Amino acid sequence: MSSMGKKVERVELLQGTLDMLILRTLLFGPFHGHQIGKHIQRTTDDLLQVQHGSLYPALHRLERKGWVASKWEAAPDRNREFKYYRLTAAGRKRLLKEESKWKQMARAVAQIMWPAEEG
Amino acid sequence: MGWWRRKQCEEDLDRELRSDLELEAAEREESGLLPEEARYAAKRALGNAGLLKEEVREMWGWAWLDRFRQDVAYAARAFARTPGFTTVVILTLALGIGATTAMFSVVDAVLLHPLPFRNPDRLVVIWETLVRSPNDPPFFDTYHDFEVWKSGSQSFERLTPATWKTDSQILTGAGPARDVFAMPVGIDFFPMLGVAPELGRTFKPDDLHEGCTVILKHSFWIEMLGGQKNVIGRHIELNENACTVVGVMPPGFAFYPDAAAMWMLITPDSAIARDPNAKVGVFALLKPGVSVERAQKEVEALYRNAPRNDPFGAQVKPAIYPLAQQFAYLTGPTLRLSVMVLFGAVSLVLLIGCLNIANLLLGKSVARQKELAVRAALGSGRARLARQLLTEALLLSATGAALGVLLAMGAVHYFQTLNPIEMPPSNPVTVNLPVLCFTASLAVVTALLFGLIPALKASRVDLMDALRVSAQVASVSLAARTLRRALVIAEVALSLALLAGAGLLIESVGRLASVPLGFRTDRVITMSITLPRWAYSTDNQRARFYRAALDRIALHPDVVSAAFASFVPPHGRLGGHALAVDGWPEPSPTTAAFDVGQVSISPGYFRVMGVPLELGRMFEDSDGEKSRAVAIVNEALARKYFPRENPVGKRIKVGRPWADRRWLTIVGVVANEKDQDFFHQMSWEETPAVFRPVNQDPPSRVSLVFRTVTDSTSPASMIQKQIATLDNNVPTGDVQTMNERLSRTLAYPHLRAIVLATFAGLALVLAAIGLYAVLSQLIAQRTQEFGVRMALGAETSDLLKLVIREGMVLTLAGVAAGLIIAVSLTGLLSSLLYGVKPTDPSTLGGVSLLLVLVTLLATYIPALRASRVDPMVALRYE
Repeated sequence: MSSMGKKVERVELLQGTLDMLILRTLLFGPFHGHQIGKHIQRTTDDLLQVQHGSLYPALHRLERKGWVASKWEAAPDRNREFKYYRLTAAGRKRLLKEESKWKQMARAVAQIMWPAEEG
Repeated sequence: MGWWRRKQCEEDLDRELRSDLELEAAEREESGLLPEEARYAAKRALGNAGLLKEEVREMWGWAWLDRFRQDVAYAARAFARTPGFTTVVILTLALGIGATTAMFSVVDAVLLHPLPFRNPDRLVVIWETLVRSPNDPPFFDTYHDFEVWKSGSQSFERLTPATWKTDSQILTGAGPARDVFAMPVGIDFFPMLGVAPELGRTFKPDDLHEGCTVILKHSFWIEMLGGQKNVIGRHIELNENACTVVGVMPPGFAFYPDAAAMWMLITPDSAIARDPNAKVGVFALLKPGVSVERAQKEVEALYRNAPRNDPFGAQVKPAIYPLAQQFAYLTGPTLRLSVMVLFGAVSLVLLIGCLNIANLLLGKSVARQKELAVRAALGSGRARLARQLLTEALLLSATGAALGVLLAMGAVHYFQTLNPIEMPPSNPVTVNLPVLCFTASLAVVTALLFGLIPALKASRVDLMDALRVSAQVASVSLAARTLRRALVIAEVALSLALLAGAGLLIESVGRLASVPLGFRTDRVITMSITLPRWAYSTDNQRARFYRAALDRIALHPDVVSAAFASFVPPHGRLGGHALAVDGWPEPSPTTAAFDVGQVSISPGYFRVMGVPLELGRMFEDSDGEKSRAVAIVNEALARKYFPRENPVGKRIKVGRPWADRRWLTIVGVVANEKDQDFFHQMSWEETPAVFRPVNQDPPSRVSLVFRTVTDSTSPASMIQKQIATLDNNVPTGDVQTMNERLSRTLAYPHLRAIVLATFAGLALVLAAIGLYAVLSQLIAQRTQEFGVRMALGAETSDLLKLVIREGMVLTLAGVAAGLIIAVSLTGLLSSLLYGVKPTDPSTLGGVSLLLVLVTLLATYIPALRASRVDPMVALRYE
C-alpha cells in the first residue's frame, strides 16, 4: 500500500509541472497536441522532451478539469483538421495560481541551495 | 455517460494520435529520412500506443468500469469451470433471498406500508379499555362518547363513528334474500380517509335528512349489481327500507372489516344515533402536529367530565391507537408478532446461507491460492485481487437475487391464491418496488457478508509459499482452518435456534389441535339463518319459525339430527354477562365479573354436539314460552358459582342490567365445550355458560347445527331451499363443517408453524452442507497423512472414527452454542405457544437430536471416503 502511495505522489508532481507548461504554452493561442510538445521542446532547447505518453493523458486530464477546451479545426496552412486545444478562463486562473506556487517553490529551493548568492 | 459517448471519445483519440503520428513522420521525412524509416521513427517516438490510450482513458474516469467488466468476465469464466459449486451457491442464495423477499413483502404490507388513505400517519382509532387492566383487548365506545368527543375536542380534524357491532341487513329484491353487512358510518368517514368514489359521490349533509343512503364497495357492486353504471340514485332494499345508492368506491378501497359490502350513513334517525349506549368505534384524523398523547389527554378529560348514568362507565377509559396498527391487530392479534418472528427467522436462514457460502468460498480459495498467487506475481495488486473476489461474490448474489425475486413472486402468488389466513384490508401483499429495492440491497449485503472474509484472506496471500507448494498440500493456515470451523459451528448453532423455534410452534399446534374440545367435530355442519326483523318482531313469531324449520330439516334423509344455537363453538360465546344468583347479594357493576356467556339452543342441541348431561335434565319441547323460564348451565359455571352445591333448582339472572330480567330456574348441568377467544388465539377457554331454550329466548340470528350421514355439506343446499320455501326473505348462508371452523381457528398457528419449520429445515440442510464441505476438504488435505496411518497399520475404523469425531466436535460445539441462543430467543415466542414453555426440555432435546442425526449423515459420507484411502495412491500423491 505504502509503495503505491509514493508512486502516486511522484506522478502528480510531474503532472503538475507539465500541466503548467501546457497551460503557459496555450497562452499564445490554440495549438494541437503535436505543436504543444514541439513548442516545449524547442523553447527549452530540447532540454525538456515531452513524451507522448505523458502529454496526451495530461491534455485529456486538463480538458476534463475544464482548464482547456478542444475542437477539431482546419489548420490555417494545411487542408486538414487537427484537434486544437485552447485555454479557458478557468485555465487562465489556474495558470496564475500554478505560476505563483512555482515561483515560491523556486525561491525556497534557491534559498537553500545558494544561500550566499542571496540579496 | 452513455456508451455512444464513450465510443465517440475512443474514435476521437485514435484520430488525434494518428494525426500526431503523421505530423511526426512528415517532420522526420523533411529532416532527410526515407518515408518508411520516418514512419518507424515516429512510432518509436510515440511509444506504447496501447499503454498511452490506457492512460488517457484513465483520465476520462471510466477505468473502474473497464476493470469491473474484466472482473465480471473473469468471474463468469471461473464459475463456468465449476458448475457444481456455482449451482449450489446460487441455489442457496436464491432460496435465502427469495424467502427473505417473500417475507419482506408481508412485512411491508402488514407493518411498513402506509394505509392507502390520504393522511395515513394521522389516522387513529379511539377504543375503550378497562382502567384496572389496560392491556386487555380494547372494546367499543358508545355513541354517547362519540358525541361528547365530537363536540368537545380540539385535537381532531375529523371524527366519525363506525361500527361492526350491529345487526346484519337483509337485502331483498336482488335475487334470493341475502344477509349483507352494511357498515354504519358517520358523515365524516369518507372525508377523513380522503378517498374519492369511483362513481357518484360520498355522503353530504343533505343525506342526513334523506332516510337511508349507502355507498357500495366495488366488489359488491360488480358481483351483486352487475357493475351497472346507472346504479347511482337507485334504491336497494335493506331490511325493507329503500336505501339510495349515492356512490361506488374504487376497487382497491377497503376498510376493516373486509366483509363490509357497503357503508351506510348514520343519520339522526338511525337506531345507533338514538341509542346512547350503541356500540361504535370512533375513528379520527388528528390535526397536523397534534400528537397521539395530546389527543389522548384531551379525550380522557372529556370522558371523565361527561355526565353518565351508567356506573360501569367509571371502570373504563378511552385509549387512542394508530389506525394502521389496529388494522393488523383486528385482523389477527398475533399477526404483527408472527410476521416479525418469521421475518427474523428468515433473516437467520439467509445469514446461515451466507456463512455457508463464505465457508465454501474459503474452501475454494485454498484451492485457488496458486491461481491467485500467479496473478499477484504478474502484477495484480492486492486491492485488485480482493476486488476480483468481491466482484465474484456480487455476481453470485445478483444472480441469486434475480432468481430469488422469481421465487418470491411465485410464493406470494401462491399465498394469495391459497389465502390461508385473513390479512389486513387495504394493503395487499405484493412484490412491489420497495420490496425490490430491499432485495437489491439484500444482494449487496449478502455479497459483502460472504465475500468479504475470503477476499480479505486472499489479499494476504503469501506469494512464495503459495507458488512453492503444490495445490494439493497447499498449506492451509491454521487460522483459515479455525475460521472455517467457527463458521460451521455458527451455522449449526443458528440452525438449532431455528429448529427450536419451529419445534416449539409445531408442538403448540399439535397440542392445541389435540385438546379434547368437549364436542363432536366429525360430520357436524353449521349454517347461519337470519330472521328479518320486520317480519319476525315478536318472540312468538321467531320461535314458531324455528320450530317449523326444524320439523322440515328433520325429514331430510341425510340428516341424522339437527338443532339451533345462537352461538356454536369454537367462537363467540365468551363472557360479557354478569350472573345474579337468587339469595345472594346482587353484583354491582364494579364487582361483577362479566364472565358468563349466554346461548339460546333448541332441545336437541347437546345431542347433536355430543355434549353429555351431568346433572338434572335436558330441555324439552314442553319448555315453551308460557311455561317456567328454565336454564341449563355448564360445568364451568357450576364450579365457579356453585362450588359446594347442586345448582339444579337454583334461580339465576343473566345480563346487564339484570333488574328487568326474569329469574331462570336451573334444570340441568352439562359438560363444558371449549371456546376460543379471538384475542387469545393460543388458548382454549371453558367459559361459564347459561343455555336457554330457543322457545323462551329466540334470537333473530341463529346457527343451524346438524349431523349428517357423511362429512359432506351436500344436504345444506337442500336445507337452504326448504327454508326458502318456508319464507324466501330469510337468508341462509355461511355453510361450514365443524372441522372447517376449527381449522380456521388454527389457521394462524398452523401457518406460522409450517413456515418456521420450512425455514428451519432449510437452515438444517445448509448447516449439513457446510459441515460436509469442511470435512471433505479436511480429508482431501490429509489424504497423505491417512495413507501413512494406513501404511503404519491403522484400521479403516480408526480413520472413520477420526473424521466422525472431527464432525461431532463441530456439531456438539454448535449445539451447545445453539441451545444458548435458542433459550435466549424463544422467550419472544411465549405468546405464540400453547402447552409448552419456551425452554421445554423435550422439544430442545428433540431438535438437538434431529440436528445431530442429520449432521452425522453429513459426516459419515466424507468419513467413509477417508477410510477407503488406498495407502499406495495416497503416498504417491506428491
